[in-house]
This record gives sequence, C-alpha cells and structure tokens, in this order.
Amino acid sequence: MRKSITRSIVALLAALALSQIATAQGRGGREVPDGFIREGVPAMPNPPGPAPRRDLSGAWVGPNNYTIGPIPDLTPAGEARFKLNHRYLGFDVGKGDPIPASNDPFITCDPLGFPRNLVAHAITQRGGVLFGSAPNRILIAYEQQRVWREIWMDGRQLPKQVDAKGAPESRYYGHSVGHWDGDYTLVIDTTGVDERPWLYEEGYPRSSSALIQERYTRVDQYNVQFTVTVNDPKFYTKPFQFMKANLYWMKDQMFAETFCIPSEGIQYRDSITAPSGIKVLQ
Amino acid sequence: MKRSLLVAFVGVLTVCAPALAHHGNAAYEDHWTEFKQVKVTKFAWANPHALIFFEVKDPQGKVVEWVAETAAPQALRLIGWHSTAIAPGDVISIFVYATKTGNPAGRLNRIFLADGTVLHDTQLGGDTGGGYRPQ
Repeated sequence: MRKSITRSIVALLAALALSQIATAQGRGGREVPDGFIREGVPAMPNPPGPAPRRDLSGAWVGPNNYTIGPIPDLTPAGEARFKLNHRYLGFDVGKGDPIPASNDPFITCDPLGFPRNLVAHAITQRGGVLFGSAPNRILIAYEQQRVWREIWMDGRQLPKQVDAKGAPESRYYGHSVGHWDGDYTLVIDTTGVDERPWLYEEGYPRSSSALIQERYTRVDQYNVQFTVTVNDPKFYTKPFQFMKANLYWMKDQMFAETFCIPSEGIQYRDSITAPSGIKVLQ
Repeated sequence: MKRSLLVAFVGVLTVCAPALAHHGNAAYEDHWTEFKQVKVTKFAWANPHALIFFEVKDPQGKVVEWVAETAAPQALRLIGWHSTAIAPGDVISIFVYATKTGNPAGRLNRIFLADGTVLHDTQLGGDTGGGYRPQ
C-alpha cells in the first residue's frame, strides 16, 4: 500500500516535471528567429582553427557563462556612495515591506557605462560585440545602446586624474589604453570613468580613479576568455575580479538595435514603475 | 459588445513565481491573475522592458487599460518573441502577476495568442530563455 502511494507520488512528480519541461520548450511569435544565429550564416568548421596572432577583429556574441565577484568590502567612502544607489526592486525586500524607491540609471535610459555594459550583455547572453580598428587604436562596439570604446594601442599613458584643471573629463566608458601580452591576450586598462553609472545593477559604485583591467585571451578561432578586474582603493578595500566570461566568434553575425530610448524610459516609468508603487529618483 | 471585451477574471491561481529573477519582484503579487480573451491596445517593443497594454472590463463594466511588463527585447528574442509577435487588436489570454498597489499593472507570466502560440516571460514565465540569469 505504502509502495503504491509512493509510486503514485513519484508518477505525479514526474508528470509535473515533464509538463514544466514542455512549458519551458514553448516557442512562438510570428517571425521567430532561431536563437541568435541569423539565417544564412554558413556553418563554421568544427573543430575550430587555431587562434590568429594578435587579432580579435570581427563579430562576437556574449559574454557567455559569466560570473560576478565576489565583491570585497567597501571603504567608508565606498559605503557612503553605495548608500546613495537604490537598486531597482532589490532581492532583499521582504514580502509586505515597503517597496523602495530606485535610482537605477537604466530605468531612465541613462548610459550604463563601463563595465556595467558588459554585464548587460551577459544577462541575455546575446550581446553583440564588434572588435575593429583605426590607426593607433582598437575599437570595440557594443550592440547594447550602440556605444563604442576606443582603445589606444600607441603606448600612450592613461590620464593620472580627470575632471581637474589641465586634465581630461571623465567619461561614462572611461579612457582606455591597450597592449598585447604575448600573441593571444589583449590587455586593456581603463580609468577616468564618470562616477554616475554603477558597477552593475546592485548599485555598487566605482570611482573615477579606479583602474579597471580587461584581459581577453583568444583560445582558438572561435573562443575568447576574458576577465575584468577592478582596483579602486577609494571605494574598495582590495582589488578584485569583477567578472569572468567568454565570447564566441560569429563571422557574419548581424546585430540588433537595442537602444534604451528616453521616451520609452518615460513610458516605462509612468506605465509600470509608478503604478507599481516604485518611485523613480532622479 | 465585442467578445474581446467580455473579460472574465477566472480567479487567482496560487502558483508561486520562481525565486530566480533578474530584478526582485517585491512590487508584484506572488500569484497570477488570468485575463481571458482581452484585446491588445498597444505593444511597446521597448527598453528597458517591453510592455503589453490590453483592455479589461472590471466588475462594474468599466473598461480599464492594463499593462504588463516583460523582459527587454534582446532577451525576448531568444525565446521566440519578435516585434510583431503581438499587435493592437489581437485578442489574447494573458496571465499577469498584478502589482500589490491594486493598480492595473503587473509582470507577465505568459500569453496565449489566438492561434494557440504561447509567449512566456523570461523570468516569471517558466522559461529561462536559454540562460537568463540575475545580473
């Protein structure tokens, strides 16, 4: 009898699990793209060829398989700054608690800035990233917001400070220089970021004096592994690896336009956040 | 009166939302409300999140415009959505986690189109979209 009941429960759980799987596999829409590979892209040889020397040019998708942090303790200045950042619908809000206001810049379509733009791509695992070149520099263009960065490769130094007399202005995506470490790893150092964007959506800050280093290692023809480390003594008690992920090369990948448009941000604020009781702080 | 406006609250199904989510969902109920055969008035394929506007007839017979948010277009594309997936005038059945304020807004669970196609939300629709994870 007991075995019979157990079998029934097991069967019921199995049926529920299968129904969940069936639901999860549901796909629809009138014009359904198959994943993020557009039709007509030729199959690429498998296995991939060797990594080309000192070359990341072309279209990539990702970051994929990313990890964040851990984020170390903040300094008192970092804590003070962190308290000013009110994330959108935080996980720490208990049921029945008041819904906090938020000043997440993305609600109002303010620039994500660097390196949060990398994480935004990682969420969807579909971000388009295009490495190109111009004299003395590498250009990196991002599908999200169609922004681009220029990485100076001519040996120049990063600015020692920003927003001071005789110094350059801070930038949402910072000032960047790069060099090759061997033939397959591109190292990019960035500083001078505008402090208004967040490190990522949990509201952690980064200061304009932070040194943020990316290391892109081309493993083979199709794969890049990269890390992003943050050294920001003003806001954090020690340097840390902020992010680790990989990119996948897609020769003919087309990129969507993924703008966050101010009028649409206003629509979102008025249609969803305000009726939901979430005040958007400016 | 068009059939599309003959809306019935089928009742509240006590199905909890998945804990995993991009943003927290403190603003929304943890159970969904189903709206049957409602007419879409607007589909905003937009950032930061796409929005579906639809007409609901309340118990007093007044037509109220609801709005359901779902994910950003670049995440929705991965699970079969498209800018033309829904259009004004479409008659749909829609499951929504309504806001706790009582206002006619909420987070999408899933939509049944007239042709039987099902469109899920990324984080609260039982479909992770091939890897949608908290930021």
